[in-house]
Amino acid sequence: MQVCSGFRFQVLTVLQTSARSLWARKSAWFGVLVFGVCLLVLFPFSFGTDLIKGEAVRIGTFWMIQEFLVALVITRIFAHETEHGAIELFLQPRFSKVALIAGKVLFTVFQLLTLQLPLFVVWWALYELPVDQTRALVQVLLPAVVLFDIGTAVLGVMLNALTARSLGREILVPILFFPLQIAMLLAAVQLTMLDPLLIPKGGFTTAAWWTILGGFPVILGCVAVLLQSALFEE
Amino acid sequence: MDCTKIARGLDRSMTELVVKNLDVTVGHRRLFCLQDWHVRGGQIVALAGPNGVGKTTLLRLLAGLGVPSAETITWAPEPVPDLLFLNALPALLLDQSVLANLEFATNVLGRVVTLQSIMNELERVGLGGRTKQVVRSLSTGQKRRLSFAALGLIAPRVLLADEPTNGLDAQGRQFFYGEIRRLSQAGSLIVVATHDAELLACAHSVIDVEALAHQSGQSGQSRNLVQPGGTKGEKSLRFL
Repeated sequence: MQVCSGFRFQVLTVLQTSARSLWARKSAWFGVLVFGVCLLVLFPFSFGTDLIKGEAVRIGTFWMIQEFLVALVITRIFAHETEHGAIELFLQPRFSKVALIAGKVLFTVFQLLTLQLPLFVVWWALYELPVDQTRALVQVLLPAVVLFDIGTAVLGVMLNALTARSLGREILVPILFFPLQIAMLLAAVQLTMLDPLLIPKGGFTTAAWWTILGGFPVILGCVAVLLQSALFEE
Repeated sequence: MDCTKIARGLDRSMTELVVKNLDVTVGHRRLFCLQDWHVRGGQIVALAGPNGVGKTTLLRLLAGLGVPSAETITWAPEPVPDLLFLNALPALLLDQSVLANLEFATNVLGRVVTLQSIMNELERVGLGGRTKQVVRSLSTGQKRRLSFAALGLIAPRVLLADEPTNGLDAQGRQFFYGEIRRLSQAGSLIVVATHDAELLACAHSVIDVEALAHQSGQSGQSRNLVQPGGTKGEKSLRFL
């Protein structure tokens, strides 16, 4: 038997446990994916097929679907571990809370990306994105989505950890989450508009939006580490 | 990765727990005060008393899962390298397999165990051949046995167990008594909260938590009431 006490080993343990939980409940993951696809299909009916060819609607729909996915994913970040008290093994003093946060953030980003990738393909096909614009869009969309996911995951993990033992967790997390996340969503939407004249940027340059999208995960990550002693408190 | 071979027979008996003036509270309600308690590795201590008196709360404080009122709990070495807390409900990932749960429990405590040692341990606790079974489908007693398999694999320096024999058949209970005796002989420090008379008889000392609560309520302070272990009937109150 070996003793492995490093930070990296602890992060890997969190990742392994979370991945196994996701695999064990893969039907839930698939359900979220089907829900996203259904929304993508339903929007053209409500907007009309001509309107969805407009860029604002196309991009707006893409990010709206992301928000639905986020809402479904972030409320269940610690669900598997808290169900039967397994979270308490993670909370023993020997296990680093920073490792727990880092592991859960990485896994949440991975989980969001596994949903976003197939949804992007469906969105691209359904919304008739011009082929010549696709490359330019992906070049902006990919880093924007990754930064958006990291910021969302950090915020989601921190709020879930803060409210893990609260009776009102299911209500508290969304109430606290969306007002704090809105800046990242705005930045992501603005950056992925291919036509810079389409939506007024309120004096913000592209660099400023990138700073918001990149700065939020850093700031929220620092806050989560600083608050680690208050996380999971009863 | 910081990996080193475990030194077998690491001096566990040097493990020490000192508690001074620990207020055990739930919310704003003070249950009792543990004024002066000192215990070393190799000891089995039982917490006895009726439901709701504060046994679990005390165990959780000792496990670092609650915040004590001040610097009132001191472990040596600090932090204890392998402290295992067995909850009244075994802490398990219900949708994962028996094997995955054991890997999870050992990895969280920084251990990497071989598949063969897991199989051997499962055989020993009576769960042989159930490696791939999903934990949700196990009975209450089998879940408890699974947590005993983790206990056997980890062989912790400190074991804190809350009602560890609940839901077990006679054979399972005897197995646990044997396990804690074996760990105690190897120098581990064991604290159990229990109503099980046979488990109380296994303990080297018994803390009567109800008496502590009674004293705390009367005087605002308390002396610890410790009964030396042994067979039932031999126990008598000893005031520290």
